[in-house]
Amino acid sequence: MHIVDGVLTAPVLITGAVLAAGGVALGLRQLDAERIPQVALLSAAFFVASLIHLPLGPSSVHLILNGLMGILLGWATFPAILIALLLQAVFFGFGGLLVLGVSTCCMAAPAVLCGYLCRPYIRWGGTHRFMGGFIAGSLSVALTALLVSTVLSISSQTFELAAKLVIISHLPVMLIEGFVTGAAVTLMQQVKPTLLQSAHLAEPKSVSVSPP
Amino acid sequence: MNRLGISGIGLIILLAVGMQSALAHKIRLFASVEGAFITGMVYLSDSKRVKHQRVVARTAEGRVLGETTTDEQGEFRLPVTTVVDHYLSVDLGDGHRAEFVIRATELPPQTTPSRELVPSSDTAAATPAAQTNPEPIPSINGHEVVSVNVSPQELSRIINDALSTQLRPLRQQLDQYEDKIRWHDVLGGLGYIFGLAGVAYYLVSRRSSS
Repeated sequence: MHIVDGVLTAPVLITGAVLAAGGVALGLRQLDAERIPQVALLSAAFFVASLIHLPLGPSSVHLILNGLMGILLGWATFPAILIALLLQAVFFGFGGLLVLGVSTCCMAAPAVLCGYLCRPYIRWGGTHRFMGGFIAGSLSVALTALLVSTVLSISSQTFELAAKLVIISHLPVMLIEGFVTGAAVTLMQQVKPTLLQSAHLAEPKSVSVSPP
Repeated sequence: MNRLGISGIGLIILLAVGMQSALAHKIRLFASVEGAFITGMVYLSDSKRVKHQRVVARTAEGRVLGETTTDEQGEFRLPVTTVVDHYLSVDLGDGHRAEFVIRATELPPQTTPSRELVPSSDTAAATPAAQTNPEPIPSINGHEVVSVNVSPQELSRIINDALSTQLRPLRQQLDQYEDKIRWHDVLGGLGYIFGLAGVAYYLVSRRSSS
């Protein structure tokens, strides 16, 4: 899903850049020092995830991990994804530099939205936590695919063709990523609850005396 | 954030290195000239061929010169009709596209649509009368010197064909080498991310303490 330079028109690029700048500013404002390692780790995971691909039809697709980022980072997803996309473009030539704004918006905006939507479920705990993660993971991939095909259709192809190609080719990714996100969130609660607590996704365990 | 963080980083690096074979995608187009045809192939970064995709050749102004579709091996063959720069492009439709340029200088000088790559034995047969040589054949270093009458244009065409056949695998190899994702690039990217995180941490903690 790496859009190369020259496919999108100037108004789309400029809108994307402005929106991405706004998102990044919000993300940086909300960033406190303790969260920075988490942001860096997820940005690194996003960076590497694009290298692990599932061959599909004429092209191939890869895990996006933006759902997980949205859940854990909130608005900080914007700078995290921007940095990772920039480095991907510079080191591997994936996607162009001009489309960075648009790409960041397409991946980060659904992430933030789904993160906020699914927070209550993740705080709830138990199976709701897994389901919340699953929905966040698959829905953010779906919305990203939708945004990318909309953006492509504004610039060149008809919506049918672009949507068919991008969305349908990412259906398996939606499923897989739902599972991965749900499993990751559940695992985090089991292994390192403070991760979720620092993102205000879980209550800190307090000592309580249960009634006899 | 210590043990989980370190194991997280370790897992990422391990995945990146171990998954070198399952590299992700950037679509590439490679082409070269064979006789009066442009032949080439469309593939992904990990050498997987792209089948049944339309390849279009245009002039610099955008006028379509010809188009074809890649076969089961991801290869295509386009007849050359005019001696002009050919801009080849393939577009998968989801934002992935690749381009390749064949310069007019790489194309054979006088091409006609029906002209095929002809082995050089035909040119020798075309001038049989000139072959007969009443003078004794000289020898240099024990090798017989055979004189063959070939026009300069034919000679240049023969040389060009031979060169393109020999150079094509080399160019292909170079193209694929250029394209490989090397794990030290991955480490470079990861290094930048953690370096930036360190700088950010320093700045944020300075801001909050001052």
